[in-house]
Amino acid sequence: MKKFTKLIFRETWTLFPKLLAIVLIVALGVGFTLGLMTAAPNLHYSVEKFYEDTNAADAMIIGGPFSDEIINDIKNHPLIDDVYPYFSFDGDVDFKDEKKLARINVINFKEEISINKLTIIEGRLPNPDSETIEVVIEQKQPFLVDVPLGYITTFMDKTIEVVGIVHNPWYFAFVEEISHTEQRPIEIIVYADESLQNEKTYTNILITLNNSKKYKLFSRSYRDFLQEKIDILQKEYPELYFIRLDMNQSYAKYLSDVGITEAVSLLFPVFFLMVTVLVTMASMMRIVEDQRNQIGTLRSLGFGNLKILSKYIIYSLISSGLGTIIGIGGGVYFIPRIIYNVYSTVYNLPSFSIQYYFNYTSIISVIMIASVVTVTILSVYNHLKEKPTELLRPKVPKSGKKIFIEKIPFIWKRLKFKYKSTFRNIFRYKRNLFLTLIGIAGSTALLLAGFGVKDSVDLAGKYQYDDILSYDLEVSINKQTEISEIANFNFIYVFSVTAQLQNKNKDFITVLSFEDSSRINEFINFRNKNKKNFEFTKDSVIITKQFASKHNLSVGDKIKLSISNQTIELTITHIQDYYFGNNVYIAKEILEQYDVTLDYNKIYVITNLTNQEKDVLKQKLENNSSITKVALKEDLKYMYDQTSKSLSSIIIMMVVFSCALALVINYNLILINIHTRTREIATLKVLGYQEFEVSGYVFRETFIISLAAILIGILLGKTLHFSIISIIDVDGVILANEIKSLSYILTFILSLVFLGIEYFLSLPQTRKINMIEALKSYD
Amino acid sequence: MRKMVEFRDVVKNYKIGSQIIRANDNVSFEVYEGELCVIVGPSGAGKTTILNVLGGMDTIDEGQIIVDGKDISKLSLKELTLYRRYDVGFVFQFYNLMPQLTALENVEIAKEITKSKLDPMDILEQVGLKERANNFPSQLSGGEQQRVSIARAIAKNAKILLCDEPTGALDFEIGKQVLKLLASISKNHNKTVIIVTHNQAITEIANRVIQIRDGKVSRIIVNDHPKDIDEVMW
Repeated sequence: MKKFTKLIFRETWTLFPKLLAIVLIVALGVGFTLGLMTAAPNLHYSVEKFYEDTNAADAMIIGGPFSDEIINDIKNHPLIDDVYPYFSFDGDVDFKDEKKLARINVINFKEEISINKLTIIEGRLPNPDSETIEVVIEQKQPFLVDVPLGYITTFMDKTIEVVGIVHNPWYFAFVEEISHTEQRPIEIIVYADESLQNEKTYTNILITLNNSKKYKLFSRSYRDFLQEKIDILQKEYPELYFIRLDMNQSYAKYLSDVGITEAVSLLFPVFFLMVTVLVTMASMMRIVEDQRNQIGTLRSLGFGNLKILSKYIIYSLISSGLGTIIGIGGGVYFIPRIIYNVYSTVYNLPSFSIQYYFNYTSIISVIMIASVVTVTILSVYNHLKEKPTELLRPKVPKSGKKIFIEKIPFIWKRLKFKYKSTFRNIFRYKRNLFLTLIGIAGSTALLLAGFGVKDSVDLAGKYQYDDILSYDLEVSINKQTEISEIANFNFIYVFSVTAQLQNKNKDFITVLSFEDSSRINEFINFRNKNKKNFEFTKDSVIITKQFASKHNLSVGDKIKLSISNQTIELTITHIQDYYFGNNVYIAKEILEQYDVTLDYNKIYVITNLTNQEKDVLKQKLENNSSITKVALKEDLKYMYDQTSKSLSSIIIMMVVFSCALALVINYNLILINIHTRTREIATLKVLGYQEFEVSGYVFRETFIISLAAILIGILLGKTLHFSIISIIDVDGVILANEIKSLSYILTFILSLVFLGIEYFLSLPQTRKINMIEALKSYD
Repeated sequence: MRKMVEFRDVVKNYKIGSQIIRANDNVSFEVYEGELCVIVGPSGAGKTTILNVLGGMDTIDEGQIIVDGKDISKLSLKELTLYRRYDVGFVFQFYNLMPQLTALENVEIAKEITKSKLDPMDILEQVGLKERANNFPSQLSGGEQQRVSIARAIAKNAKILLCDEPTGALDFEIGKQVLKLLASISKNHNKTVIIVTHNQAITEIANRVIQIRDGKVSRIIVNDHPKDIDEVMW
């Protein structure tokens, strides 16, 4: 036994380079797969943990002032766990000689905040007994002003001093918050002590529900739970207005952004793992085959089959186990963190909290290790079936065969001699052929899918904001009046209302109708899913495409909608190409037939102004009292581009990993190829083949197979891309199911570049082969 | 007669660990055009080293090797490749045919890299394998494979035919046929054929026998009337 252990130990050392390759491939496969699979759950978990640590509100009730009675009544409601009332108002404060709109939240700092606890980023919480009024400020983000610590100003005739920068769990996305009273965006969010206020009133109540902590807050089950409970509360308190956590802008944006990552990181790793498993299995088989002689020697020395088998099981366990551990360590630790850091550029995120997903980890580890060990056992078992004397003899090289192309003399005769040889070789080692095809086609597919998702994200933005929506701004008005500021521009009044779908499925959808059913074509470019334009007419009932596919609706189908207490049934005339939001466009002539009152509450405006001039116009409009909100299309587009940028970096990471996988796989296969042909290569060298001819002999077939594999990979990648785009499950967001031709070209070129790199990497390997090998009796 | 090969005081050392082993120690001999030369010696005597350095597969430490007037001991690795390509036809003990190529194609390989004018099919006929031209090596017997290997060496139209234990893997009768073929090539085509072997019996058919012992040439026998292969037994 001792001798046997020694043997294993010594041999492991000589097998080290080959086993190292296995360790690396396994580590890469396991690491990337697990890293990506756990990325979205970890992205959710970090914020969920933040919600938990700060006891985030499940909902906020607005519309006060609230009396102590009602607050107590709500607090004692069986559904409610806890309440936290406070006073909040919006008003201008002086900041560096300018007026800035601030949301002032007045809080009792004498007691600990129980819901939406503030996390201190810098400084400290206000001291309620201080002479000046001490306040803390929400941390900066693109829509909020950066107020420095120690800043002193006067407000409501009192001196206030900024003593801390804090983070409220309800504000972490970079989104604009509009003041409901001022109808302008809020620029500073302040938390001030009660001493600012002369008399105690409450305008807002934060609530937490009983049992809500049982849910993962980003799960669908939580949102269903939340909606159900809040609906009950809403019925009991019809005079109150509830803002659920899932209606909170930060929550909604994060959920939607991570949703796209989630879709990408679902299929991608599965595919990646499949390719890795296959290649690892092939490499292990190769190692065992090289051990023919060893196995023969051990057997002739009288070692039992089980003992020999155990030796190889130990090898495969060590290499795949080590690779798995490195992969788990590296992948699970780094990848979610990197993606989280990327997200941190467009969110104020709490520090990263990692959770180890033992179910994913164990499943993937078991798949990886089991497949390597199984293939080892099978390969060794094959050798054990042979007689030891046979094993000691050289393995007869695989013979050549006529291949199908030879049956077509037209092509075969025209082929150069070296290509004839190459083509026969391609089909000589079917396993190598098969593995190269899978390996390269797989990594090419991953590459194309990666680029493709990026294209889909970009194109969705481009189609939505550049091609479909032709207007520059959307102005929300509280009553239909003449807006003098836009009188010189082309504008149209729009009626917008939320309706409920009453078909088999119930769902909410935005109904849009326009004052002029023919002029609207100047503001919205109507086109179907195939991007064929059509005109909006007085008979139009058009639904947007995500809504159509979600409810399986097509042109000619009937939709039943309840709009402002009426239920109407209409026939869909068109499906509109649309990416963000679910709308149904109904001609006003139709709504009028059903006596729906069209209270125009929006205006679309086409300005032909420069971006700067648009900003000026926007500010002017925001001062108009009949306007509640002004949305510049440019701003929406900018926001989308920011999100798309963060997604891009994740995709770049995926592409980089696919490239690494492609390189490792191909290099490994080329090594196997060279190794199998040592004798042939040595012979060619003795015959006087020059260096480039020798490497050409080996590489030519790899190149031809790879070229075929790249083409297959591109087809496969298109399919993978389609699947990724289809499983994105974010309500109101779909991506363009398109890959730009540049991405195809880039994928193709990159794949070729890899081939080139592999060629140069493999050169020393053929150079290393000694001609004396040709004279030896066996390898 | 033209001098085809000349070894002048050739020294070749191998380093094994810290030990230096002198495999060829002042080896000198000559081989003339059209001769069938047998280099013979027990294993470990240094004959494989002679094969390696004469075949352009290895370099020497001292001395000179002149092949048809050209000193190959001074050649660069690249020039050595060209030397192997154009000047040496190599016959291996284990034939070393390309398994994915037919017999004919294995011969064509040589023609392709040397631009020789010889017709591969004619050569196959010459070695008696015309009928097997389209068979793959795996479909041929050992003797047939060795004949293809010889055909490949002939096809190069090289200056010397260098054979490494050409009968080593063959049984007696088949081995004899192969030797007969080699003898006829030297006799009928005036080719210089050098056979490296440990088999003393083969020496009887040679024009020239170079015996190697302990890295040195122990004896050179010039045989003006070599025996016919059929008279030899081993």
